[in-house]
Amino acid sequence: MVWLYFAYLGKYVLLYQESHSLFIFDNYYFSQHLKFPGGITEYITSFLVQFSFYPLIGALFVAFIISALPFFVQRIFPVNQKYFFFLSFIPSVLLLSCYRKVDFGLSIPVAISLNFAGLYLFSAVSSSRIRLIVACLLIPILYFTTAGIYHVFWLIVLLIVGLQNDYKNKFATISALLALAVAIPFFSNVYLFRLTFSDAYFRFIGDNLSALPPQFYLLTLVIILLPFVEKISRNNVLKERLVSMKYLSTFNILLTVIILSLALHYSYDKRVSQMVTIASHANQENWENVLEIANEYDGTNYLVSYYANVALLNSGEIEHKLFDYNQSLGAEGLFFTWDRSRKKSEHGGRLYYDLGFINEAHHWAFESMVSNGENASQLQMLALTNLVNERTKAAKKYLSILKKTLFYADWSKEYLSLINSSETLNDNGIIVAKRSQVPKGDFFMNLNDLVPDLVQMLKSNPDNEAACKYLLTYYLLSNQIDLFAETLVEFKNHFKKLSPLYQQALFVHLLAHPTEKEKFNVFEISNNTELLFKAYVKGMQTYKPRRGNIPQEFSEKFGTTFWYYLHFVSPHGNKVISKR
Amino acid sequence: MKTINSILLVVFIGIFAGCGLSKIDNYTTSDKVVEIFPDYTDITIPPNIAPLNFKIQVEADEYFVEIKNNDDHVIKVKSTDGNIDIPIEQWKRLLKDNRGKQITFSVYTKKEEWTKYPDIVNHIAKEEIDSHLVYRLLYPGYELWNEMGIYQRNLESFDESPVVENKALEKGCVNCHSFAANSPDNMMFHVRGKLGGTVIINQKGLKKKNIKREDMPRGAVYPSWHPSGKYIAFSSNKIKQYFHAKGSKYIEVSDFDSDLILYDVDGEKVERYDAVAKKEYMETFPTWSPDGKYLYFTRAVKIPENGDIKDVRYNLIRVAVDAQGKPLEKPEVVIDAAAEGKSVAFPRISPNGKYLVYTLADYGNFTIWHEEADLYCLNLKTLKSEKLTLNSENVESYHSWSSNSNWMVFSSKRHDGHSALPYFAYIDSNGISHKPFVLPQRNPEFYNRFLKTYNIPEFIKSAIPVTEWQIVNTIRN
Repeated sequence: MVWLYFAYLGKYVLLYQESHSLFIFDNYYFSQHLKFPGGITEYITSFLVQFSFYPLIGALFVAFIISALPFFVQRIFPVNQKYFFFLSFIPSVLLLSCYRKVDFGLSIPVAISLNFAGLYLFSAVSSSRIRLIVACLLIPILYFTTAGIYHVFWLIVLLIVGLQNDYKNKFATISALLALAVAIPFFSNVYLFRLTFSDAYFRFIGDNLSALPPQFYLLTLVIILLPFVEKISRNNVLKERLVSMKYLSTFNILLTVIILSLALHYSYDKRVSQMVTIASHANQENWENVLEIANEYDGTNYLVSYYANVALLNSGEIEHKLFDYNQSLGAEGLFFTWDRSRKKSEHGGRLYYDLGFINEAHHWAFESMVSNGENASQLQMLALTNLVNERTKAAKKYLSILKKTLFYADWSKEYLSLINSSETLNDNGIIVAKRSQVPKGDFFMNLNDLVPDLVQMLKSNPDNEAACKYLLTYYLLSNQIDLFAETLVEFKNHFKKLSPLYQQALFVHLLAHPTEKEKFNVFEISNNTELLFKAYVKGMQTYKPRRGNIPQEFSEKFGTTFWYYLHFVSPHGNKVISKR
Repeated sequence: MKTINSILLVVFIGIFAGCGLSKIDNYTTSDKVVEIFPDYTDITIPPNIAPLNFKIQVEADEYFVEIKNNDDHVIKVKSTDGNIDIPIEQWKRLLKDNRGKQITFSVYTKKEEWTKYPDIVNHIAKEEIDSHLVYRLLYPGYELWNEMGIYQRNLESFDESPVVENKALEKGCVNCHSFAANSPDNMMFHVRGKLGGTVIINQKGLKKKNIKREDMPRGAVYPSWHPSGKYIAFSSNKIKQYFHAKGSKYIEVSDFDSDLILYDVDGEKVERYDAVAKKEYMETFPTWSPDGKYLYFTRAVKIPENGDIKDVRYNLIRVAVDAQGKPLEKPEVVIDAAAEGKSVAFPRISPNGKYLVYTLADYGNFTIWHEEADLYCLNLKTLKSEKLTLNSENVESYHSWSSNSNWMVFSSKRHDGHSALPYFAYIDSNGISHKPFVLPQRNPEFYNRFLKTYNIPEFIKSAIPVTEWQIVNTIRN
């Protein structure tokens, strides 16, 4: 059930995790994970998460980790298992519900599973003396591997010992284990890790304390309660009553299925799923899929609008199908402004790369790597931008890292082989195309507004068609038709034939400025556009549409025209803005 | 008995396997110079430096290296991946016994048969390098940071430990660490953000101070300790960032206003350098002469905020000062770089007072992104400058001197054009720089993987005497 969920509906969680993680097969990467408590768990997690490159396989690992918990719980608390086996699923259910937050990593489930594996080992031993030895060995091991989550182990061990009536030397055992649990982080910190005390004791928990979902705290409570429930279940009177209950097993199975289904239903967030998936498709340049999701998305979202427009630009449809997609954000849906945001830095650089602002694409990718950690897509972007800029030494460094990954090695080897032969690199289609887009001269980027940058780019490199089309799109979406028309004429070489959308905008401009017809003679406005305009005017008179009250028939007929956008969608008002 | 015998046999085999690094007798000789990474060839090294582990950049099945001065003391290293990991104790002995002499590295590789390459010859200087290097590690980025810290590295081994890491400081920025006369007992650095302030460590202990005056353009930035340890000169800079659309410089940082201030460490007073701080100029990068008689700094004509930052060019200036660091005369121009269309940054004087090394770029003072930035040496006796031979095609920027004036460490981006790495160069008695070498690492491939940058490498004579805990507690309290 869990596997099916993550393999299909919850696939976006895996995509997100994979895109924010990078496992590297080298000693340096491993040694970095030995420098702090919990590093081993992070290492294991990164290793597992890399397989989410293929979500079907990634889902298998997630399902395995989540399903390991009931296995351990059932064996550690056998009486619970006999009468209330649904209880053993509660920790897993709560963990699953934590995935409502897409950035809830796999580290915590892995760490909890490791601690439960330790508890299983502890409870499998019957001799109290050997149990003490096992616990004493496991406390430092689990602290080193799972950091703050090791509290789960020693706390449950103490509860098991404390709640057991016939445990020999109970007080001495509890005191010794408690002392060890407190001492291990202290001394390992003084001599090894050199963290702050809060980090030494609560790393993993403490690091993300504010970011952890409430279910995590509930999970902690449930885990602490398990030994108590086990103790109650051992009560003979209760046992007799439970044994006499009919349908106890059916009740358990039903309850398990219900809570599991509820958890999975709760975990799924359609909007987040669409946002993560659209970013993932954009990253892989699956522009058709990007546009499909943008079309399906119900509502307005900056990320979705941004990627839809990037996809339109890359698929060559921006001048044809701009208004086939939700443009209610207007020009703001075209780009992200630079405001030092960690989240924005993940996405904003893509557009700069597509527009030929290679330095700026490098800027965003680097900022993203610094603030979000090393991940494949940013390293790929850093390698590409450096190759375009002829900084092969820097590119080689990023490619060498990717070469040591499982799923990006082939991509990196391809470029590494190009580097080794500079002639081939200079013939590579992607590199050549990108180099033709870059500005011919230097200028400083604006970053708060895309227009000055695009204008500068076109001054510097008038052949940059992508920049020209995006500037025209900006003017269309911001109602600046005069500037649209002037830009169109200035860069007429890019347009052998005007798209119907451009014709519609130019038609509006010429209606306002009839004396300028001669200036725009190079462009033909087709009869179809004129007829459509007449139909639009007639439709306006017939349906009398108003913003917020547009008859469906009218919107079906004219919803993808520039005139419709101007009158009923544009957030910049329903009038042409003259900025001459 | 049988068990004991078996154990002895295993130990015996183990010992001989470890010592089985006999001389290679049958080999062919190659004329081709073997390529190794990092480039540790033809260099002058300190007698107390950590082993210069390197990777042989030749495809082969086996590798063998002999390091020796003469046949009395030979270090033999065998490898199957080309990584030459030199045993540290043997290395230390070899260097100790051969001060002022040459050592040779004989490199052999085996594909089908052994090949010997021309020997690599390095020279061991008589003069030691200071035992520790302090630097800040962070991504060589633009504006954002996540994790960063100031670290100290024992140059005689591979031990690196954090002085302070920002993960204990709400991820605030830590920067501009500085020491008085290479002494770890007099240190300071700034902390920015919620826990902001300037941390000062001296004989009186640790303290965090807010070094600020109302009339300063911004907070205290670039520091320089007075040789007495009683004063610190700071610049206070108002900066702006720019991003280049094209070219090798991705980022540009320029001052729009800056002044110098003097901080009295014991009296905890901040004073403006009124005699120096002129409205029409921007002053920055203060540095004291080792005798404390001069304060050197760089100065440029102020430009308006919308002015062209390529017009900002700094000259090297100095002003005679009294024992309290207060100016006695008018400032004088030492190097008129602006007249030559150049700009001076990071003036640093050798502790023996003979030389002043500075960075020279086309404009501005944020030279770490200026590929043209190179290091120049000013002879303070003759006041003549020369470009140092240690420069590369890429950026050379921040630099500092060892306490004996024989070694210089400087930041260079020659490895990949992006990360600044610390390179060491021997400066001989004539002020001539020898071929530099990069900070040795246990894993010779370290720099091919490492994406961060070594910022502000500074020599100190021994380890910093306070713990990270003490520093963090001072900052947090």
